[in-house]
Formats: sequence, C-alpha cells, structure tokens
Amino acid sequence: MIKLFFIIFFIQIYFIQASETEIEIHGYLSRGYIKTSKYNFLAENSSTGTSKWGELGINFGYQAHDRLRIGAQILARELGTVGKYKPTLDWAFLDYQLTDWATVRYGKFFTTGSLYNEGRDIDLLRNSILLPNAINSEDFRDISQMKGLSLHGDVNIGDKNSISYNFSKGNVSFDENSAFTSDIQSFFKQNPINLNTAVKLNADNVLAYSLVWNTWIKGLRLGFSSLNLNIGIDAKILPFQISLPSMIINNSKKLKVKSLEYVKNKWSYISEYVTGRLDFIGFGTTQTFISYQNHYHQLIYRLNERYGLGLINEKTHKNSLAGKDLINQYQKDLTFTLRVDISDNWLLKLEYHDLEGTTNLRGVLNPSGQFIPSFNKGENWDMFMAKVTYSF
Amino acid sequence: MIHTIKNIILVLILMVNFSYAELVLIVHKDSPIKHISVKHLQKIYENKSKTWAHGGSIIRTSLRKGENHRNFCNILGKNTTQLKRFWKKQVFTGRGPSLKTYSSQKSLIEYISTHENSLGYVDSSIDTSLVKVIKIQRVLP
Repeated sequence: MIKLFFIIFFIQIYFIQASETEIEIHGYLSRGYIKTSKYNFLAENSSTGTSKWGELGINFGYQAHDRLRIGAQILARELGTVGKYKPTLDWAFLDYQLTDWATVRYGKFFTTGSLYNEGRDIDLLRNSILLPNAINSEDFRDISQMKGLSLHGDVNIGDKNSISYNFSKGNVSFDENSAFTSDIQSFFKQNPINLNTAVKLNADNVLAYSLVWNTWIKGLRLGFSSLNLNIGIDAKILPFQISLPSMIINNSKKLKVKSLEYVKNKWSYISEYVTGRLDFIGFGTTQTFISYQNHYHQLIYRLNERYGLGLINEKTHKNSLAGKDLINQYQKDLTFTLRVDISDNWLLKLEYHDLEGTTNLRGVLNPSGQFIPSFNKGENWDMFMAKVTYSF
Repeated sequence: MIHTIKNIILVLILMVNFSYAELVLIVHKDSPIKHISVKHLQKIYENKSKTWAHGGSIIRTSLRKGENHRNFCNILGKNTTQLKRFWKKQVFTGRGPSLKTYSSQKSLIEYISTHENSLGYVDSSIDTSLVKVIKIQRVLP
C-alpha cells in the first residue's frame, strides 16, 4: 500500500515540475447518528443511539498530460469501533487514455459491482444515507476495492447506444480490524470449532468485469458485473500463535450483479439483483459460508434543487440454503429518505428503516446472540439515521 | 385557418431559435475551434470526450446558476442537479477534474481568456471581445 502511494506520489511530482496544470484538492466531512430498536446494527450501542459514525476524505487530482490523469484519496472513517479515524489510502491510481474508448488504470481502485460501488464512501453522490445493504453490505467493504490493473472505457454503438466496460485484475487486501475479518474470527469461535484466533486474509488473482449498456431510451441503462475471488485464510490460535492448516473461502458461484437504472425528469428508478456463493473449505470439510440472492428497488423523486425523497425496498437472503423462513436467514428493509441540499457545500439527510429479519446483524455487535431463531427479540425492528456532510 | 397554423409554426420556430440564440459557446482566442455539435458538447460535459482534436485537455466551465445555466443544461439533456452531481462524482471517484463554476459571466469570460483549452458559454448579449465565440451546430439529439 505504502509502496503504491509513493510510486504515484513521485510520478505526480515529476509531472508537476513538467507542467503548469494545477493540482485539484477536494474533500468532504460527514457526521452521522444511528438509533435502532432491539438490535445493534452497523455500530455498537446503536440500540441506545450512537454518533460514532463519520468520514473525512481528502482527494488530489492532477492532469499530468493530455492522456494521463493521476489521483489519490485519503480517507479516515469511523463506524462504531471500526476505522477509528485512522487515515488510509482509499484509492490512488493512474489513468492513461489509450484511445477515446479505452483507458488503462493502475493502482488501488473500486471494483466493479453495483452501479454505485465506486462512490460508496461519498454520501453526497447518492440520495439515501445507507446504500442498499442487500448489494453494498458494509460487512463486505474489503472486497469493494482492489489493487491492480484495469481497462475501461465507453464504446459507441451507432448513434444512440453505448457500452461502458471495465475489466480488472489484481488482489484484494483485508483490514485486520474490518467487519469481514472479524466475522471470520467469529466463525472460528462458533461451535464445533470454538477457537480464539488471529486471522489474516488475502485474495490474489481477483478477476472482475462489468458492462453497462447506455440504451437508446434516454435515461435507461442496464448493467451486468461479475467478481471472482478466492480468499486465503491464515489463522493462528491464540494465545500460543499456533498456525491452523491452510483454509480458503472459495467463490464457488461468482458474485454477479444485474442492474437497471431509469432516470426521467425528476424521477429515478433503480433496481439491482445479486447472486453468488462463498464456501468455507478447511478442516477436511466444505460448508457454505454465505449464499446470496438479494435485490432492491429504489425510487427517487427530486422535488427541486434543494429537496429529494427516496424509497427503497430491499431483501437479503444471506444463506438461502439454510432455510429462507428462519429469522436470521433473511432481512427485509423498507427505507424512506429525505435529502436536503442546504447549499452547494452542505447536505443533510434523514432516513427511516422499517426492518424485518436479522440476517445482516453481526454477532460481534450483538454478543448475547439474541437475534438467532431460538432466542430473539422479534423479527420486526426499525432504525433512524441522520447525516450531515460538508464538501468542498 | 391555414394562415393561422403557418403563423403558429413560424412563432414556434422563432422561439426555438431564440432560446438557442441566447447562449453562445466561448473558447480561448487562440483556439482553432470554429464550431461544436450538440452531440460533441454533450460528450464533453459527460467527460467522455476529454481532449481537443488539436491537442490539450478540455477544461470545462459553467455558470453556477441562473437562466443561462438552466438553458445550457437543457442543451446537454440534463437538469442542473444532474450536472452538478455528475461532476462531483467525477472528482470524488478520481475519474476527472472538477467543473469550473463561476457566479458571473464576466468572471467566466476572464477565466477562459487566460486558459487556452477552456470551454464555456455566456449570454450572446454580453461583451465577448476577450474570447472567441464559436457556433453550436444545431442538430438536436
């Protein structure tokens, strides 16, 4: 990570000396509040209300040459105990435009996937506070980015159609304190394994691609993306640091997202559907870790330049093989959002979630296990969120 | 009756021409550009066309608000909110530079007069002697 940053930094310095083009600096600062009923979601103590939620991002962009653009973003974030405002390199890459329709990118960048994955950390780019969890789960944040090489661009097909494409290859790094890593640790803690472990994860040779068809119907685009990755697990039993035999999380069924977006005047409609399966292979067995079959529908109405309303209906089935009707195997979320663009720089959003099911709840946030089928507080619960963002 | 219909059509044609005639595209005085089609203009402001044919990265400018800005967005086939969010996305995802926005036509003209690869628009009634006015080829998308 540091090596990559320095490569890009020194190339940037070289071109700054060789050109008179200016470096652009932009940033944003967000602060949020979450209050849930019954269960903790996204952050510890959300059931009593928490404001331990925020992001601070600063990015640099520089047009080094007619065909070469360099950029990087530093992000410090907090969501409960995750992040702790530790500055990290969010993305950093070089974009070299080969032709009008093909650009090569090298560095750390967001993978293909949902239509909205690329701007997932920037609140001001979307209507809702929370991106639909069914597709853009915070637990899977690590695999939303990769380091490597990509080829992307737009190809015109006739006068009225075009295809935006992206093919990427690289590796995914996992934060030791991320939700995904701690969920693997929780997995080892469960019966029958029941081990305290320190876990390191890595995924090399990750392949991803996406195609978005910008159709002849003005405002309508259709997308398809695919992600294939196998995650190696290096686990040591605590406190003696004894290594466990090698294990992997195998992407037995590629993660595939189908998307539709239609924008007409003040209305927008978005629908996305994801399928895929990750299997845990270790201790001589293979078992389903996560099996996806999730979707959402979103309707946005822009009243004027200041106010926007949103409605999202989403459904998650994290492990469809385990029984769809159990309370911890599904989650439905009906979301209402009010977005207020107070000025060019200030943004306020308020959001209410009417929820059913507990599959997106995490054991580490609900340690007494009260969301499991035999010992739960009920399938219906709700959540209120508020977020203020300043950008420049 | 036919005479009335002819008059209505004539008025409508004049209205269309008038609404486009209010805005003119402007570039640096030394720019070799003479005209831009609506389609090319849309591609430029969608960040799909990034460089001029004669070389140089296109620097896009815009007014911050007002009727001229709304009319320009109409030509692009977007509303003002869509254009603003699109360019915020370019900046915060590293895809491109920001859209340079100005609160007055005078300051926009001043910027273009000092930046060789810049492109913008102003009301045709304003003094454009510092910059070069280019035509929009009026083939509607």
